[in-house]
Amino acid sequence: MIFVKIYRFFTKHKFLLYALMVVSSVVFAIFAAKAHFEEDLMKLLPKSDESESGLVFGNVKVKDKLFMQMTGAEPEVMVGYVDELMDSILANDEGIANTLYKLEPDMALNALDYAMMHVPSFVDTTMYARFDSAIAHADETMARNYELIMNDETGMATEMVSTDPLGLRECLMPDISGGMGFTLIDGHLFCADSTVALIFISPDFQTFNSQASHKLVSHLNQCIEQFQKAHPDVEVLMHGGAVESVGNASTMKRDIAITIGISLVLILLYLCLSFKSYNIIWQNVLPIVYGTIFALACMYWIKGGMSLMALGVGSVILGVALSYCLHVIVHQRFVGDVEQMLADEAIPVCLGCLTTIGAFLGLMFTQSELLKDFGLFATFALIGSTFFALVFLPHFLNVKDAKHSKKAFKLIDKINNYPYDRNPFIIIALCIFIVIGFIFSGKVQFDNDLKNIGYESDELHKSQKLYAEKNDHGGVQKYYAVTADDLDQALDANKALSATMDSLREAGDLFTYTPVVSILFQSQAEQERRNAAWKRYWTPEKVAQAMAAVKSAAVKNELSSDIFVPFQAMVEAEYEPGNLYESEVVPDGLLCNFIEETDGKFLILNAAQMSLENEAKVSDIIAAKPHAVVVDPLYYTGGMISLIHKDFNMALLISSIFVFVVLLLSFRNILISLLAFMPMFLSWYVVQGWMAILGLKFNMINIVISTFIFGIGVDYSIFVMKGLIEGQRQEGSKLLEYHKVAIFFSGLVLIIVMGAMLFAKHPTIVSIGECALIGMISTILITYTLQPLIFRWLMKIPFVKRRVEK
Amino acid sequence: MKKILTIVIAMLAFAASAQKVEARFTESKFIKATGKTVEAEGTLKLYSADKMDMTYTKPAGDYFKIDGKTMSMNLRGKKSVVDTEKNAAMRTQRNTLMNCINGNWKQAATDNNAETSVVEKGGNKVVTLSAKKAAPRGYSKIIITYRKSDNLPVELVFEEFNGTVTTYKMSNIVKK
Repeated sequence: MIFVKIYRFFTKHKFLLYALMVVSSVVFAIFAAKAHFEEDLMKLLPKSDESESGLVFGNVKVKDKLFMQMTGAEPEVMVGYVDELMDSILANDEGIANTLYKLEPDMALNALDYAMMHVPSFVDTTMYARFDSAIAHADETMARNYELIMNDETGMATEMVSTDPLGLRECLMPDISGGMGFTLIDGHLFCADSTVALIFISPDFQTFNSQASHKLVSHLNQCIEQFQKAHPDVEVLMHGGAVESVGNASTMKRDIAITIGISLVLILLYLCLSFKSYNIIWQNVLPIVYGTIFALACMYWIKGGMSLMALGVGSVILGVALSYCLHVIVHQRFVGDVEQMLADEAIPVCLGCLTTIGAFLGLMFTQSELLKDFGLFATFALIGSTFFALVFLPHFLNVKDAKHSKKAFKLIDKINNYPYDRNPFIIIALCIFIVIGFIFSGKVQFDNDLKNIGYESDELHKSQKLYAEKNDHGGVQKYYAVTADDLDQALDANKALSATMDSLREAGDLFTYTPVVSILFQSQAEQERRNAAWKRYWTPEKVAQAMAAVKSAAVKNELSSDIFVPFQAMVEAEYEPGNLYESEVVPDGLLCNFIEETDGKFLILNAAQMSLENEAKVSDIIAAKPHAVVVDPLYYTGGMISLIHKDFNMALLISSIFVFVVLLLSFRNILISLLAFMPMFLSWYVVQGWMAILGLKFNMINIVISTFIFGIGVDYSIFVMKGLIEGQRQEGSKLLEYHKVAIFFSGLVLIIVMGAMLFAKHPTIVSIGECALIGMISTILITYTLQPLIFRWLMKIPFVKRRVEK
Repeated sequence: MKKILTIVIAMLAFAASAQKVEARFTESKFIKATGKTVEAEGTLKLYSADKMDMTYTKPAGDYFKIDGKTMSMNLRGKKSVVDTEKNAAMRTQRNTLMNCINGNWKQAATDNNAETSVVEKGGNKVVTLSAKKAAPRGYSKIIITYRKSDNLPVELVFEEFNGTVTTYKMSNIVKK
């Protein structure tokens, strides 16, 4: 037996043992500390997280925008408050690319200047009919002009009227202002009913940059907190990618720390009391710590780091490692002889480790980086922990120490020694439990929506709800975009998208959308077409007709008819195409809502509001259009997650085959191997079936736990099987009893940890707890009941009995 | 090289022509459309070739300032700051005003696509810039009266294409 030989060798070379343990621990710790942790939720997806457009969503900035809202006071008061809050926020603008909460007065002047230089570019050919109507209604317009001019103190209104006496600007304005949906009060942005002041903050990093997100969100929260103390009359709410990401990560970390931390402390205390020794704590903890740093160091060497989410979920796997330590420690306490303990335990522990690793390695066949990270981390963690438990740990076990609390063990013995396999009620109940699980196993649903994995605080939800109510007609807002290699191509493609969105709006599928880009931004070719159309419309005859109408209307309204030279000059002027995108007329904070340049591609963005029910339908229609994309990476993840789900089923099949082959090689008996395989196989269907019955869904995270159930199921099964075989071979063998004690502690530990997870806030943690708890309970019940029952039946078959007793 | 030298000399001459001046001014804006005239007055301070302040005492609080490429104004409480690099019309307005005040009327004529005529009247030189072509924006006519003794403007008349005429008259001109 190799581990016994290793034990003897190191017993004679203690210094070498300590040197190897210390040096390897230090080396692993150094490299583990260098590992980079990625918090990118997109790592859940296969690497092809792109739409057909080739757009890499991680780089799209509009999805990272933060929304801040202020409500509770009169708009005029909030104007000052917003300035005050933004002054404090922008005092440290690290992480902020730009903000939009007010439009500077010069923006209007600059916009007017640009518009005057490129008037025809803003006139769609369909508007000329409105121009005809405007000329025909010159008298009515001039009556309004009269009022404007008479109240003019600065000459500005007069200037406007003399340039546009027919009110042609009004032919354009409804299309623009109608689509924006915001109200301007003293230059500040408010929702349409003016009750909520709006602030948009664009970070200069991606939402999944957790460090930068955390820093910015903390700064914003601090500013809001200070502001609220000074102005309790208003409420400031905030939501957006970084806020959700930070809230999600911190809740997950806190939940893991509280649930696993507290339950582990309680468990270790229980173990101390049961074994009447505090040594049990470090004896359990050290192998796990060693395994963890070994796994992290390996992850660093292989990939430079790993997904933090994979580490979080992977921490559950340490429960399996704890199970191996418990087997070693518990068995040592019973036999009081390290060599005997190693002779009894090394094979089942190694076999358990190998099969569990096989279950995890199946994940390497998936396309998701998260699952691969999880599979690798779990594999290395188990190798490290098992190595420590079988090589280093035995030297620290007190040979004479066989103390344990008789009371505690009496109870454990009572539970373990109960003949579950001979109680027909339990057997029938378990069979019904399994059959029901089997029947319903096909009905378990897989939740493709990654949004449901995230945690949303009440404040965040309130902010999202308020924004939706005030700006999205109570529905949802989505960005739809076209992408192209250059701006002109993108602008032309956006025309087609606008036409689609117009028809969706007319059909009632959209509440509204913002056609700002299609109105204001035109390609050079389109501008040339429009300039030509302008010239064709404003013939000398048309100019004469318009001027005659204007002058006549002016005279009728007692205005000088000589003031309209600018109007005539405007319609007769020669125009060249402009470049509004590069003109700096539209501030960055506003422009980034419409046009974005990313990865050498131009995105033209159109914000649309719709009901939640129509979201999928509208997105599907738009996504099918050429060049069009739904600016929501999660929209494209549904198919990918389904693909991963299929991948995952394939991975489970591969794992199962691997585990079965290892069992077959180990037991060298197909019936015994099938029996050892049974708890793992059955429990998977029981988990699926009972999750379906309880209305629980699998998702990208908790499905990983199925590998854990596989791992733990096969471990318990191997230990029980070894105990059963040993009992068959040697009359009075206590191996099964000892193994059952270790399984009891391992099961108790895991059930308490998983049970504690049900009280977490984070939905992912809760779902892990639910899934694992069902799996654990079914595994233990099958292992304690059906496995011995079927083994007993098998032993009635002489051929099998002979093979087992060999 | 010769071209560069010419430009440098021209720039130096322009810079030298700029003087620090302070004066009282009256502003009279005739709006042809209504026949109304809006009167205003204040103090003008010229600091350099590209910096000036017009601070109104009537209506109090109004101002019009040029500082480099930036123009800031307060018209009846409506404040705005404009970067003239981004606004062609404001850039032309800024350049025209500064050039006229600094005696660089030839440049103002070029900027406004105008013909020029110069007439001497007593101790003054009257320069008239007349737009060659009607335009949607800008001035149809600019008349600047310079005091011959020191080439400082004593009266500026800006006539827009819509007939609005704004006249500035300087008094108490003090060189500093």
